[in-house]
Amino acid sequence: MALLEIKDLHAGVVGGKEILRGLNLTINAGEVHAIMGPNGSGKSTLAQVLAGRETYEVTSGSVMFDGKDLLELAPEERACEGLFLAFQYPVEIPGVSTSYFLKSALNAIRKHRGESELDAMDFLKLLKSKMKLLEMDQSFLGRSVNEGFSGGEKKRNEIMQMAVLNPRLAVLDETDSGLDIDALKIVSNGVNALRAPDRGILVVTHYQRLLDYIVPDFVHVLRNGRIIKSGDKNLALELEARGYGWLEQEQPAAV
Amino acid sequence: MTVLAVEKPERTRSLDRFMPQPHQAAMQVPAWLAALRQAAAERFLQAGFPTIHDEEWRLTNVAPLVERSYGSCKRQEALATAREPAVVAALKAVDLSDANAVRLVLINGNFIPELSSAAPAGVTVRGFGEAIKAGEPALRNLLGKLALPEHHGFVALNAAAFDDGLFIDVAPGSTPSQPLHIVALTHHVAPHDGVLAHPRLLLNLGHHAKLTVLTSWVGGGASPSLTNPVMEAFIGQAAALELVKVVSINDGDSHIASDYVQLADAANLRSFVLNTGGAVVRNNLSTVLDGPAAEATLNGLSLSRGCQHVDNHTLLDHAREHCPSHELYKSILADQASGVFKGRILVRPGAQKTDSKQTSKAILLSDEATMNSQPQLEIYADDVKCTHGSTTGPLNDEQLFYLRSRGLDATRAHAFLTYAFAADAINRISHEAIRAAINQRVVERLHEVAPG
Repeated sequence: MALLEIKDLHAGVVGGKEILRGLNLTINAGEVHAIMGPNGSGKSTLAQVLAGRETYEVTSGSVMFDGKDLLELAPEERACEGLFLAFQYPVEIPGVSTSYFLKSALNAIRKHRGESELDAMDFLKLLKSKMKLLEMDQSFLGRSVNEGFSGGEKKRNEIMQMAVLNPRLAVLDETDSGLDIDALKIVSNGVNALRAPDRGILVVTHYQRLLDYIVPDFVHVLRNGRIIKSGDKNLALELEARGYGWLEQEQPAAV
Repeated sequence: MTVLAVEKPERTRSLDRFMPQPHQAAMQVPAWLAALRQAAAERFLQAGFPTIHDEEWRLTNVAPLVERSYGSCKRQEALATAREPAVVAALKAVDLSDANAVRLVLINGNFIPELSSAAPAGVTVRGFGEAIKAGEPALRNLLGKLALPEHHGFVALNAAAFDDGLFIDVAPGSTPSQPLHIVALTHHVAPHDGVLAHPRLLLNLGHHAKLTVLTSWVGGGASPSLTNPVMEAFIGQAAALELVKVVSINDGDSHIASDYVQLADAANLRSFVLNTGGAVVRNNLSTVLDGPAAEATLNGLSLSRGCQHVDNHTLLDHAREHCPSHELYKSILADQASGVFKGRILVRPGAQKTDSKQTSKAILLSDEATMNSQPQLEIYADDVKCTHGSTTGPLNDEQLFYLRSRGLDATRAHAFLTYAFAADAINRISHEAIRAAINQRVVERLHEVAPG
């Protein structure tokens, strides 16, 4: 059984125009998939729809996650089932400490899985080890979620949370945007450390650069809301060299 | 007065009922105080209570509060009251013994030494009666210097009618580690009318002194009471005062407070007010930065529900140069609750290098809740920095989604955000034990205001 199976997905902003127009994608456990595409192709819409953002509406199609109808689940239920979205623009939440928030989230997920809650000591140990993985300073522990973080710090914080919550499927939405080369390496190392036979990773990106560090098993090109070409990591290199234009001649975009 | 009596006989008669009767005086009144009270009484009878036609009171209607009849409660009765189980319970409810605080009890404005702890070294604590007997020069020199009867009728009435008060003097250089905890209770005995109390506080910090004061306004009985406190605080050169105020009176009671603070050179004020209870609550806080490099930080948090109305009016008077001021007022309003924030910043000529930042934020948890936020900047100097910002709206959808996407259900995500919003203000309280106590009170209150 596939970990994630998207069939003929049509979706868009509530009351707005359709953005995803018949998207099909299957991800098996252990695989890393990259979705590439120009601005406006629907990359972020796909990430938000998978996470359950209410401002988007699915008009037809299906998404099965580990055998469950994902679209029937509330955002928190998706998280409890093992879906994780690393946001393109992580929101700042002044007043909530990163550690308290993350401990509550982890324990909500553990409770859902029928596992015992982690106490403060065990959680702190786990958190510190994951912060070390992402080379985050201990001072982040006491800071409010994303508040006053630089772009790079926010992205590191996303991957750190992913490492703590230990998802079945991680969706990384433009995690490379706004990162300098050092931060990109740190974030990629964090993601690579989480590659596992029982986990799927979906990397959404505009540029090939990130895929030098997180080498995907499959690359898909998204255009006008559907996948127009799939291949292995070499497809990303070809896109880098030739741009997206040649694909349009090869396969005209659906309307 | 004669002229007014002819013009508005009805009104004057109706105001007369608020005047204390001579035989009620609970303390020996020296001539200087008698004169001060007489002038205030005349002013009150002339001006009356503010109405919604006064610009500063446009959004807070006190008419229903002052049309009611109230009883009064003198010292002997207050002392008897203090032994009632309800009062004992109310006093225990605000126990701050974890903070090793010095408890000072006021009942209906009367200082009750029998229920109060001894003052720490370097601090003089006295009821007004005792302070007068002891001939405290600071009382005579400072009382009524900031709170002028001309400001509004409540200040005038307080000066005319208070029958005791609390005088606190901190010797120069004294920095007691224990905070003072003033527990101010307004209480009446059923079936009598609610009480109209006029508590009066005077704080004086000598130069380089440092003090933390928590004031808990609590209590109430079956009938609605009204508390009309006036506080004047003088912070000497390079002295620092942290003032934390909690208004957690009964939902039927009201509270109209007028607090005044004056800062000398390099003095520091850090103020925080938490409003959780009351029908109508108005906090007037006037701060004058009266010496170079003085710094004032005014913060507030209101958690309102039902038909509660909370109005925070602040004035930051930048009278001198090189003074920073910071202001953050936050409100969480549910049901039909209404809130007002009016922040006036006055930068006087010559107050160069003023650096003032004002922020007001409100979360509306219901479509019927309302918030009215008004900055008022008056700047008469040219080399200054003044900023203000205000936001009012529902909880942030993006933040809610972020929390839910990590596994927290909608109810918990709401609770997280309302608490986060509040904590941002609470965290600005310096005193650790008081901050923890306030935090606990907020957590409890949020369960009532925003049950999710």
